[in-house]
Amino acid sequence: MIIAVASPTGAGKTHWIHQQITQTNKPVGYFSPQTDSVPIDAIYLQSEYPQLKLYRAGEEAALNNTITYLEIPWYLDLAGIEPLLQTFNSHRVAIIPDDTDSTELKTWADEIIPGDCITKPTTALQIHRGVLTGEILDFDSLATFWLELTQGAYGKVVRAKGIFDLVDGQIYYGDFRFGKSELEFKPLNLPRWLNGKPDRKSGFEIVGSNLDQAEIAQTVRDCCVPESAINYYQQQVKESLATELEVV
Amino acid sequence: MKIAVMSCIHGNYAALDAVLLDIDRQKAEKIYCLGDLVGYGPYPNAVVEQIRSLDIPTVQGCWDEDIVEGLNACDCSYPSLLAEKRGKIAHEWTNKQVNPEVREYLAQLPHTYKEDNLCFVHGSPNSNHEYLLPEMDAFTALERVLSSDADLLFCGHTHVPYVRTLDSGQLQVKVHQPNQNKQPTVSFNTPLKRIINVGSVGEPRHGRPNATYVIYDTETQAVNLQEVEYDYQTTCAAILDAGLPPIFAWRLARGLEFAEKADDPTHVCER
Repeated sequence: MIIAVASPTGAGKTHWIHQQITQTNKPVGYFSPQTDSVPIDAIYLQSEYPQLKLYRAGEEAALNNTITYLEIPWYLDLAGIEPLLQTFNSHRVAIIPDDTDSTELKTWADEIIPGDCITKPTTALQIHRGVLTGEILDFDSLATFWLELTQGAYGKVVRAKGIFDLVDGQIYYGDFRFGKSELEFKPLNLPRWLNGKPDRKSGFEIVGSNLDQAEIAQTVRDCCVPESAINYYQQQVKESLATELEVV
Repeated sequence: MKIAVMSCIHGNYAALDAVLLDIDRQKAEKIYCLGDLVGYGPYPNAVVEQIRSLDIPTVQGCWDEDIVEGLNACDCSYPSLLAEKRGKIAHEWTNKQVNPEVREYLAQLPHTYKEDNLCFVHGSPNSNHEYLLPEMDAFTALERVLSSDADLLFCGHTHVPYVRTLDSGQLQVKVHQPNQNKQPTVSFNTPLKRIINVGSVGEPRHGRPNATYVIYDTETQAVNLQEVEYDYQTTCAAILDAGLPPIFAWRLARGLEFAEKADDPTHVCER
């Protein structure tokens, strides 16, 4: 069974899928097309539900092995995903904010769920994705960058999410939607990585307009711990964690 | 007598100009400056020349010191890698801009300046780089004021103004000497002391771009924190024109400071 979920950006697809997973004890899978380079939502969901089966591009034939939530990114053409949905027994869920009139989604969906209200863009939205390849960031620098980013220092941002490896070995999840007062920024429940450059995916996805992509990329680079210092910091964290264990 | 005390101008000439006009309106008889005339902002030379021309008693700030002596920062100068990168860009730019006369002026500024029971410092009597944060423990704060041999310590550096009163302070000192069972103890009470942080003229950190400084009445001991609006967009435009990082202009316009500062009140600067 495939449950395909679509919505405008920031309306709450991943949040709704999160809620559904908590309500079942059957094997559940998750697949989001064209997000393999930076699978932010997949990593977030798996940190919450370690038993969640993640499907990657090329594994579509196996989607029916579980109850699989297929999260359709807002920028994908619904017609393009149709052949995949036709292959399986699927249920289509559209999450639509009350203040949004989306005829295409309403026509497409079997079920409509009220979504989070979103700020309607006045100009065409652009997406900027940053793929990090084992970079480790300094937390205070990242916090500064995230605040500047979400307050508009690098262009108008309506949605930003990211996962970042930090120097203490934790991976942090940032989630921002314009108009939402709460700024989610928290460590994920995943193993600490304290042996050199992390061999796991991280990065960010920013949706907005007039984004200064070069400045964003440079600022993220400026937040990164130099490779030559990674081992030094990781040793300190290991020693600190060992001391904590002794105290306990 | 009404005095005006200002700090942390950071090359922001428009802010300095507005504050000097406001001081004139307040009819302050004397002006003191707690340093950081340069750094981050686009007009380091003009700011120094203005301070010099008005013969304002001024102490050396950490940025003034760094321009003279070169960067030699403790961790508290750079609370993050991003702050360090930005700070170094600003330092290099400023270092190229300052005139020899300006550098000479900055070099001869004193670390502290005393007048009667008032002491003026940039960071603390201990160091230009040390932050006397309002949350600093009372013992350390009191020690800093006592070391200045004054009743009232004016400081800047944190860019957030505050007044802290240290009253009924009782200090007890025990001296342990080997081969002596009895430890000599000395106790004494300290009279009321105060720390006044005057905020920042050119790089505020209170969420608004307005400049801040303090008017103090030496007779009534009244403290008035002044917040002065000015055309900060002029400075923002000059930052961009000078080729300084655009993020400095963005942060200035929001009263966020050019780069974030240390916020650990237990940190003792090791510079």
